[in-house]
Amino acid sequence: MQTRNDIVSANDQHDGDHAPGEHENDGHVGHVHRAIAPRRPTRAQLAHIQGWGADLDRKDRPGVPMERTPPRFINVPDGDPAPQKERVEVLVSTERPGRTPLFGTVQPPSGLSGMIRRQAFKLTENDVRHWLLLLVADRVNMVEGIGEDLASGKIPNVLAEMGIKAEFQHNKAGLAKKVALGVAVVGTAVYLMKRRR
Amino acid sequence: MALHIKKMTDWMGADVCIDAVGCEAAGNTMQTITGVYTMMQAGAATVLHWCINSVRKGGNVSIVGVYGPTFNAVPIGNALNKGLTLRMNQASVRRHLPRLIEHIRAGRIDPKAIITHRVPLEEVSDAYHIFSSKLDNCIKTILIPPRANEVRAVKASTAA
Amino acid sequence: MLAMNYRGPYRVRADQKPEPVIEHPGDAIVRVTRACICGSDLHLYHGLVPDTRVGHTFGHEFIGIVEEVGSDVHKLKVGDKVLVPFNVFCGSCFFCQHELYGNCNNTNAQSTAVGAIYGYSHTAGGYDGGQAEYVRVPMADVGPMIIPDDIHDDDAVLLTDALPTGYQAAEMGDIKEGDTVVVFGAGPVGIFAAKSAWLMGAGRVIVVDEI
Repeated sequence: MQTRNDIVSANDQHDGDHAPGEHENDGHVGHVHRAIAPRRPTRAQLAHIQGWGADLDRKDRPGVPMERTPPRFINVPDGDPAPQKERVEVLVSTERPGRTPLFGTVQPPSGLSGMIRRQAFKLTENDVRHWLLLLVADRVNMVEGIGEDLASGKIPNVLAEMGIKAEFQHNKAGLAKKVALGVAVVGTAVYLMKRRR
Repeated sequence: MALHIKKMTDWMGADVCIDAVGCEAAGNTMQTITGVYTMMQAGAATVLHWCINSVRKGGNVSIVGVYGPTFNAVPIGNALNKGLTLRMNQASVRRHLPRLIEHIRAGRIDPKAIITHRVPLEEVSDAYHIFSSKLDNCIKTILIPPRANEVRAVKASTAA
Repeated sequence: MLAMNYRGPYRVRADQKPEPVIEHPGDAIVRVTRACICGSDLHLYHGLVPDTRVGHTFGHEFIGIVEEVGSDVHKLKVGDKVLVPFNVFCGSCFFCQHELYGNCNNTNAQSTAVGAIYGYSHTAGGYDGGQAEYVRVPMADVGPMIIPDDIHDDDAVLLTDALPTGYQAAEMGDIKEGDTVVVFGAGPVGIFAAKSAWLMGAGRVIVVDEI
């Protein structure tokens, strides 16, 4: 069994054969002593690339440093914008002190999905339930959307909305597979239901 | 993935990794199941894993891919032990515009070359489906609303 | 007006919707001439973003012509051709004063976790987006930029989101000369990030995506 002293002296022996730096230029490629360093191409090798190095100097990069004040290139307004008049309901996050001066007014919350959204906004954004409730509200909203379409007298052409024309033009094989899968699933369901009876 | 990158970079790893994919990354079944189909996390963080694991120690990871607002499981322990710098944000467009316009004028970059599809707004369902399913080699789609005027005559419309 | 209308996950259509109106003296109404679909719109399309309401119009990459201005708009006039950055920002809050326009404090009431974005659900402020004929553009003096004569429309619409995002991705990576940069994702943002990495002096740029 090798004692610790044996191992240490064996290493010393090996190191003693090499002076420091002796291996630098003697052409040993892949020798164990050479440190791994990233290979860098030369500028001549990269010169064929159009515009190479145009932003090498960090002063030319507009986003360096990331935070910079006062802001350049925009017309800086005097002070915060005047608050927008609220004509529709806007749900506000609990993590801010009230409504923002500017806000979007499209698709205000309504119906069952609106009720779920109002509940979601009582929780903070830090709480996963806030986002999960919003996702649930989105799915409920989808069903409400179909109801709206039917109520205004038009049946939504779901396949057209999903892009069936493009699928037929560009991906006939994929379409055939999906149709076959759909038929198989429906056929199996019908068969199983008939068997139960 | 990290293995491939390490092999390509002399076993060091990349200096900088950029995540330009976001929350619907393909490439890892478990991530796609937990993140996209069952939504147990806010999207598949596949590429975040690849970035953190493929970059060299002390390297930078730059994230611009969009993720959802809840949480994702990422190998933060690896990021800690490798001493990484993770930077991410929504692009602050307005301040980049002057410099980017200089680049376009100097011919260093030609953005319109990536546009592959021009579609009238009426066909938006098909345009979304083509883009979503990556049909017809679609990279970038432009929608043209009805009554949009012809492109205003410009001096450099055939820039290289 | 004709506008894109979200009906549920994987279901969108073009419908008639009422035109937007000026809600605030700093608003402008822009008639859209070009709008793009972004990769992040697909997260909305797939129903992954909370608080995406049925009837919403997506689209945060658009350019257009100013049709109407509010009483407090002085730098734009009717007929100006503008490109509108995807951030809705005020220019005066703490974050805007530090050039963090994507993190504005004064434009998103629903969430403090994100600034406001056109057409990106109510989590991002609840503004209808540009995949429509007309858009309400708040703080029109501060946000939109008049398109210079020598910039093509297609370049301008890509300057609203894709190109600055790719460029900022490369910038945040703090690329030094000769660095090896790996970009995951070969969509528009990834392609522009790769090109920006070359502009910043990278030595090797590897782009990864699935075929």
